[in-house]
Amino acid sequence: MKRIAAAAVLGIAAGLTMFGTSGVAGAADNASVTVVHGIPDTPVNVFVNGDLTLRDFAPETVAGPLSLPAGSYEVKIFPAANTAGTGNPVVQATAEVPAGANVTLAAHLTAAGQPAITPFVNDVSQLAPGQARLIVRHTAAAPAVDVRAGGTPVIQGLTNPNQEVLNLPAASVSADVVLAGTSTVAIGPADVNLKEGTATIVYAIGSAEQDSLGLVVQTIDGLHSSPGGVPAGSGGLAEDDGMPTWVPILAGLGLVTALGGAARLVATRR
Amino acid sequence: MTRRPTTWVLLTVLGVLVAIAAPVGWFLTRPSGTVGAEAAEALASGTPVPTPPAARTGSSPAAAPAAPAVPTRDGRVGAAGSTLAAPVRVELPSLDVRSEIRPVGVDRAGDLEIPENVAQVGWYRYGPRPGDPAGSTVLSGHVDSAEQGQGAFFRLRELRPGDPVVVRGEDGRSWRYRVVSREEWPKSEVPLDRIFSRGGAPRLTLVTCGGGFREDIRSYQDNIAVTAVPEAAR
Repeated sequence: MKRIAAAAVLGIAAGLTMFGTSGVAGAADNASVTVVHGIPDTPVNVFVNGDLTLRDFAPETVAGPLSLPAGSYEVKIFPAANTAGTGNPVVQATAEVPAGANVTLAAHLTAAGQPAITPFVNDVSQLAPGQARLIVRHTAAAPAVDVRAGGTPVIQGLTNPNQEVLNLPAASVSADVVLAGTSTVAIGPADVNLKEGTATIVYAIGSAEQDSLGLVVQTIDGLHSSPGGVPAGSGGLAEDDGMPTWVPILAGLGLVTALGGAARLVATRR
Repeated sequence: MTRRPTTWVLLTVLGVLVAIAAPVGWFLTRPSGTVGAEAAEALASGTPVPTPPAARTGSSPAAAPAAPAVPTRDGRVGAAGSTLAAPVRVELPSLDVRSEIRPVGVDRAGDLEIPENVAQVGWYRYGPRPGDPAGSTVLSGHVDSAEQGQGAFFRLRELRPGDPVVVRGEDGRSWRYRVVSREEWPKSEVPLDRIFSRGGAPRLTLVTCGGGFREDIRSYQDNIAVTAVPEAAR
């Protein structure tokens, strides 16, 4: 149980880097891949396509993001003591990385406590100004849960390995995880800073049975948008109308003079 | 009555010249709304590569010499948050302006919030702080208001390239800037994404209203933005 999947995911990302440098695909088609290690107490070595890519990768760590060509990557995870990458891995998986996507591969425990690797596609759509995105992913060996912010349930009945996405006003919130439909706190409370223009992805990890439940946080920034305008005046005192009044007055005088002169000229010729 | 025709010719020519010279002269000598726009655009275009945070457990280069190190980060709750102080005061010495700064966000319509007290200046708290390695720190102040009269940025349009701007943080630290540009656009053409950009060179952008005024909607038709760069960077 301790060996595992998390590592595998991590390895994927690293292996992908190597592919990336070989120029298999244009950068525009590359996927952004992040790996989250959500299996407690299990440092691992990760091999991607046979290469040791992440060594002694620690639980509760986020690796990436890496820009990787789309494709299929073989990931094997061994206990941290195994640096040869031979023998039976703790967990292995083939990861399909789609072109252009923003993906997180989460190594975690299933609801039943088995290691697993779950790919999540991250919602990286733009946020309105002042807004933040909260994504909660149930990746723990635990039953259905509710998530509360400031004591109020904002997500209800979330089960492993699913997620919920919320767009909220940016703020720091005190969040906790309770068993669904109860007020029995399973994780937290923890202060989570929902930064403006940023997706904060919270993974519930660990095992209820082993008393190792916790949270891992991944953030994706750059999703902000600009305010729609700057309404910074209502008095009209600084009005700049363009042409000052002396310009048309002077031009008018010039015109009158010219017309007068021309009229006289015509008169003297008669 | 005895004047010669040449007098009238001269007078006519003189009149025509004045009629033409008045508007042309004004046009050529009027204070320009925009100066240094290219400098402001250049500052916004650079996109510094973010520095990856220090690894909690890195991969060993000896173990995988061919693979670039994968950036890793502690995923536990409570990491991060800016260590830079929020700005609390701004000074424009060349205009003899000193104002308090309040952090602001957006209003319900999604427009920038401006402090109700026109003597105060707002700092867009979601954007960069003074001292951040990239992006535009935005300060916005009223040019005026119908109820309170002249605002903190009433004379912003008088700032010129080279003028100093000083911003003080709540930790007492001062950040000195020099103006590089002043720009004016009709409100429908304001490059908001450039003004509020979180990328490009570190810079300070001061924004207010200007141009013509529409009585019917009590609103100016233009926005004026002054861009300044940190003194050390010049």
